[in-house]
Amino acid sequence: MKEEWTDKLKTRLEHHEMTPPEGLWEGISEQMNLAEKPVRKSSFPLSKRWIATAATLLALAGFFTFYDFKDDATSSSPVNIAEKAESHQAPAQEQTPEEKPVGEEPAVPRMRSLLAQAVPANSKAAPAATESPEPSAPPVIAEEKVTETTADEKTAETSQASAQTARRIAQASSSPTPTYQQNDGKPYSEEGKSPHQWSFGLHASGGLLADNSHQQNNHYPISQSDPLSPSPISQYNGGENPQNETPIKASHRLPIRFGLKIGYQLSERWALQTGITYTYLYSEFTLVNRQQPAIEQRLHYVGIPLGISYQIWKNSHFRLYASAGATAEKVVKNSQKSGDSKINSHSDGEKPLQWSVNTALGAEYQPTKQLGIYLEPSLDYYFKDGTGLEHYYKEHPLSPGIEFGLRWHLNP
Amino acid sequence: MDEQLVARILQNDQRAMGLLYQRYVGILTSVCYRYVAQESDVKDVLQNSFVKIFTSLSTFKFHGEDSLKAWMTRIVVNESLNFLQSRKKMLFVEDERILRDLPDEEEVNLDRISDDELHQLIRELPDGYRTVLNLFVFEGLSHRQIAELLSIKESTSASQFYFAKRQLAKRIKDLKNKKE
Repeated sequence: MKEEWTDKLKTRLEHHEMTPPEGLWEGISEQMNLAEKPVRKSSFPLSKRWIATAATLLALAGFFTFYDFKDDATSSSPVNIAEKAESHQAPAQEQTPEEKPVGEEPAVPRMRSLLAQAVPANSKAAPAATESPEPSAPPVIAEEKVTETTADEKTAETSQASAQTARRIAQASSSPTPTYQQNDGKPYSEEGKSPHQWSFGLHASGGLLADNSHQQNNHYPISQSDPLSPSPISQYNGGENPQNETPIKASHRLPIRFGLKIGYQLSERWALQTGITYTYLYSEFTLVNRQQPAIEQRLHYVGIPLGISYQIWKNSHFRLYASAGATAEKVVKNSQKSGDSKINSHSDGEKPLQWSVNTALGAEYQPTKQLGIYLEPSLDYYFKDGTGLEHYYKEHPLSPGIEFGLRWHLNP
Repeated sequence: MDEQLVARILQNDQRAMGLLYQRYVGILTSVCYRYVAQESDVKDVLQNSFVKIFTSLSTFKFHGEDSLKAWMTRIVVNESLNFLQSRKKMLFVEDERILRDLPDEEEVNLDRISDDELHQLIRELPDGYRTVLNLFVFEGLSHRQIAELLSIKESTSASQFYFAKRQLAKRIKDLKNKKE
């Protein structure tokens, strides 16, 4: 029996090569990469990304830190002030009236019931400027989640080298080189596992982080009808008695806001967000030529934001995203005081609904898979609230803000 | 070269992993196809093989030229066999008809047939024949070792090999006749 030809078979085929199946390398990286998503294949070096992100944040932070909140117009009639507010209108305003009610109604009741079960009492917290919004419960939860995640990250091979190897592969680009017919053009390969679906966040924003003591030089006409007792300021009168006007100084502190957010991941990049917020607006009205104590106005709002966010970039510990949305807030308490006495005025009862739209850029640092700390500078536009109330939003309808918070990303 | 590559991989150099993959994926794909045959199954088996290769690389010791290639090949072979034995019931049939069509002892000439064609013809052999032929010819296992590996009798291995050769020889002849 001649075996030689089979030996020749070996010689012929032992160096034989074939084209690997499509997507093989991606499958390998995916299989070895259990917890982390592959980094988007990009020629932009990591260090430069960092500089770009940091520069963007610094620029935004610098912008509103040095933003001069001094008002331009010093008119003496409410009509001019209203006109000035109109001139600030952002182009986005045209689109918003349609966007406002979309999707908000059905989402809200469900969200409310979810929120009702949520912990923090800080949504109605007193406006202490130094108060931290973190309740004591979440750090414990975060701790538990971290250990769970660590367990999940272990690969089938339990050696440490393999786990480290897996993470390194996870950070590699999606294809070594374009030698083979593979999907190496994909910038953001899909992971077999679904992304974290829900996220919850706590945040604080606005007056906490920027200079609070801006003085305005707005002049509001007031009525001279009763010189001795605290007179109603014309904003309360609705613009009556244009003669005999004494200018007053209005000082609007930056709003302070706390809130709870819920996010739902629609896809790899897009997420839906809503939540509940509490905002505090404080204003002081001083009658320039009077010796009476300033009128202190305190407006307490509860609001529901609704928005979408788009994840621009992500690596194992950081992510950059952009978001846009609208918020509806309602004044739940409106207090007007002068010294110790309460002022009776038309404005006392005003509890308007305040609409606003916003857009923001966010940067989030994730020390663990499920916990994130973020900073989100934004640009907001506040529509007129249909009342004569004067407050920060009326004074600065287009205003930048910054929000910082914590986020928990959960698996469904 | 291979040694340096492995050392780098063990230091978690992901570029080195990509290079190793590139260097050997062609050969390992060919090996996998030879065993698994079905195109739809090859990707899974190869993927598992590479993952196993990368994760157990720390256990590999160099012992000469081509030792890495041999080690990687053996992993692919093992994964392929696991697959064949778990997913498909490998049948060790003996088709007597083969014996009629080809006189015994005929010399098989491998000229005028390409490597790709040869490879394809092996893939087309029935599972049992193909597996034994692969293990005997390409892995150099004895029938005793094959029998142990596949949990069959040594005599079964030997006869499977015999039938495999005969069928392959016939196919080669048929192909050459078709070409002329």
